[in-house]
Amino acid sequence: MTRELLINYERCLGCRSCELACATAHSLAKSLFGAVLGGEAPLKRIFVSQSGSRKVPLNCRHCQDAPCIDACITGAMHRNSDGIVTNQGGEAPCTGCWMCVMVCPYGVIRAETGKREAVKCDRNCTDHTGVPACVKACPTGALAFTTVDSHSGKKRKEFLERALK
Amino acid sequence: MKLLVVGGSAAGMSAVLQYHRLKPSDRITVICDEGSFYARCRIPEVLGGDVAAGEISYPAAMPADGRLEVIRGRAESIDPVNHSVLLQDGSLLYYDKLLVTAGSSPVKLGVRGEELKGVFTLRSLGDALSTAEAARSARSAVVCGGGLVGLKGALAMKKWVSDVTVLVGSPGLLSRQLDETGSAMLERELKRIGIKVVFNTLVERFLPSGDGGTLAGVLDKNGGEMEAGVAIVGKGVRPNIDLVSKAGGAAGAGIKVSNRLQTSLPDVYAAGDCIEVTDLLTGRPTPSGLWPLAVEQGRYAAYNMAGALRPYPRPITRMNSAQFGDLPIISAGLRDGEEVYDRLTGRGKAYRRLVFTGGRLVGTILLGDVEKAGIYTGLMRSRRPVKAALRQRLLEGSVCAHDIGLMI
Repeated sequence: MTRELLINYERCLGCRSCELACATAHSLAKSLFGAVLGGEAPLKRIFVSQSGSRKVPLNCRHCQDAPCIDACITGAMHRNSDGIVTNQGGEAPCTGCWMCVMVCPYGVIRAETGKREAVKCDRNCTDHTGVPACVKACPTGALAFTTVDSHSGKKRKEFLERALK
Repeated sequence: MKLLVVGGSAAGMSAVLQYHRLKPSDRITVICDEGSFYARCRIPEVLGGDVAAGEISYPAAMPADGRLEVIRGRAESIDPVNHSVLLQDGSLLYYDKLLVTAGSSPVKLGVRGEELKGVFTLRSLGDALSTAEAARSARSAVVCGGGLVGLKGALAMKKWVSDVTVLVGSPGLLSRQLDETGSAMLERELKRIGIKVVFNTLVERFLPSGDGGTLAGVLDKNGGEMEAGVAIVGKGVRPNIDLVSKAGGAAGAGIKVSNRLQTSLPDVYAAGDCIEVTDLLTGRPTPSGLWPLAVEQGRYAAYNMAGALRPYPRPITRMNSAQFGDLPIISAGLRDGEEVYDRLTGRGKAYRRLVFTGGRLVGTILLGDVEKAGIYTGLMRSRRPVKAALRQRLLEGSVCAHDIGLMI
């Protein structure tokens, strides 16, 4: 059974450790200081927002009928053999047309307008046990990487259907 | 079961790939009048010389399967009684189910001189290549139309031609997508790049050079004359309905289909730019005309043709994203409605304009900062009422998916 990234909002304190860990793991230097000293601006692919009284950490859900794949005009956005939705390493390059940004109902694909490239969670950050950097960095257990019961899978599908249909 | 598909762009390809996954033992034949499959939205990159024609293939590879066949040709007519399609070369192909993805054709200006060598529309890869060839030796270029295709064409030609002028019939740029403020921001960016824009003017006629057959200039309706070695006409597109309508199928502006993507002809389906759909926001039949809708409709058509009944939900037919120079733009839904809010932030660099009708978000324009645009379009699709606090967050750009009801 494949594992998925689940979010327990009650536990999130908004410390943004996940954001830092994500950006660092995607930097060339692979360390925060190394990246900053090397002049890199590491880009995060998980976003902690404030919604009412809640802190909401959110990244790509790697949807089943992913709207971003349908919308991609170049064929860059695709699902790789691990089931991860990514615009890297596909049939075509990302050209920064922002179609995916326009259709992602979670708002978790960012438009790097200077680089003309969409940046999103690609799980290219996992450790030797396959756990993503954001989950590893979360001190409260708000982010969990675990097998999904059918209930939460259904809930997620229902949301997407509500949002997209 | 034999599936015949007319057309090999977004809708046709997505249908073929999905249908092949659902019914791997069925035979599929694609009739395509162009030599290759490519990402149509990327032809401005070819015009600008950013990529070679071969680099915009889409999909990059078709499944290698003997049951999947591609024929280069042009479908002339459908015989719905005998379930056959006649090709231009006289050959006859039979089908059990037929999917028409005939696309759309550029609208002409209908003025004198439009047939001159050097006047182009920008619809196919072939168009992009011939326009690029003409642009390479031209000193000045004119674009007729301030829409998406025209502006992308103008930017691409700027790579070859130093003097590029866009003639816009309306008082604003991207008049279907932007308001006055948005248009002004875009005009500033185009000026920075060195593209001239003239509003409230139309082409009266294209002027020939001495030999009579080649474009030399443009005369506008205000009597102004300008030199032009190359011109692009960008006046939008019209759905190709003839194939289905001449066979007796129902059509309005586009081919009429049921929510299963079925035309009024038995076993004939249609998807993509050639059809009209009922717009979610206006409730009116509207030509489909968007790449993502074509891909999505192809997929739905495949499911329905394969026997899995999947009703196609009403789409939002106006939804565009682009970047001109350093300015990203996303515009979705209606431009006007009962309540309009707008805000400039980031020292005038980011602009948001939201339109509400009946308490629901029906229109979004984002310029300069397009992050989280999908939350706005998701909210538009969901048709849920939007309270004041959320409107504020939408205007500020501080909204997150949780605010629109996401709990996972």
